[in-house]
Amino acid sequence: MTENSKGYFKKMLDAVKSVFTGLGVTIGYGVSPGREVTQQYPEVKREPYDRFRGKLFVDINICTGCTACARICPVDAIVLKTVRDENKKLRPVVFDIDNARCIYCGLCVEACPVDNCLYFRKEYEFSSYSKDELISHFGLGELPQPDKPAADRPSPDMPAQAGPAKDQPVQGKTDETRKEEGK
Amino acid sequence: MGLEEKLGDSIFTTKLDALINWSRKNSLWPMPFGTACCAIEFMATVGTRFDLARFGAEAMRFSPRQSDLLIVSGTISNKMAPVLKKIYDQMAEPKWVISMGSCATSGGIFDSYPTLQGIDTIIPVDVYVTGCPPRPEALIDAIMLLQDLIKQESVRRPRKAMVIGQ
Repeated sequence: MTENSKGYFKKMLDAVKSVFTGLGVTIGYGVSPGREVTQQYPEVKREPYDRFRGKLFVDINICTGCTACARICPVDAIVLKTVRDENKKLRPVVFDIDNARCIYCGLCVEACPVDNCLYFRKEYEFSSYSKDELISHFGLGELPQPDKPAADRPSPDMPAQAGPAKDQPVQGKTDETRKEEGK
Repeated sequence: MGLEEKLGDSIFTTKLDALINWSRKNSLWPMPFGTACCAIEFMATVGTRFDLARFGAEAMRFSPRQSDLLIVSGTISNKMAPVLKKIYDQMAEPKWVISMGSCATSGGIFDSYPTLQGIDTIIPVDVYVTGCPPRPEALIDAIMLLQDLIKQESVRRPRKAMVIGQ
């Protein structure tokens, strides 16, 4: 009986002691917080590291239109369409990068044969209200002087292959599935 | 709320709008719907270094009935989609949705048969965050964008019915 009650009071004393030990730590931090760890984000922005992979950018004027980036992309985030211009050079008519789908793996940058053509910027704040705004368009557009047969061919295809087209199939799919479910 | 509709667009209701929006935007209670690695970045956002409490959004509620901001952070499979839809439906108005990361926004790398290609096919999304996973700063940026959105809302008009899938 006495041993049990002894243990009981010892435990109580321990509990009270440990409360004050914990409070001591809290009070210690309250008096002198030491190193400040919280980053005041919108005001103070931390510089990303050198190899940080942010938003993808293309220097479209030096792009050769080889489509290596579009072919290696594991998520098909790059839509690239080229036509031959009068100098038999490939012209990137459409170069859309879907930032919503991009996984920032960097395979396209490695595959790009031209230096500093396709590169990551240290930009990471591009949240948006709509998905269409997340697609960045870099394409040079149609050839300035449409020739007789060459320009006729790409022009009807163009609206279908342009930027928002990537979203449309998804929507179409869902509509179809909804209709099917309804039926 | 009923009363305001009779009062019209008077100075009383506009000031009431400002007050209600101010209190709503600074007291977002997030419901974390973390299914993948984006949830780890979300934890970092709430943690000490980035401290979501600075924006009044630190009160995590794991019940949809007590929260007004659904943060979908992670891949949503087709089997998870009805659960997400149910949780969204259980949330009380006003409610907002942040789609965090590539997977939630567009399916991301999982362009495959068991994965939902973007949560906006089943629920309306207010802000899309890009990244795989996004930085905590990017999520804070999205929450600030959402606060700007909340500021423009009015108690008189019901929230704009969002078309699913834009």
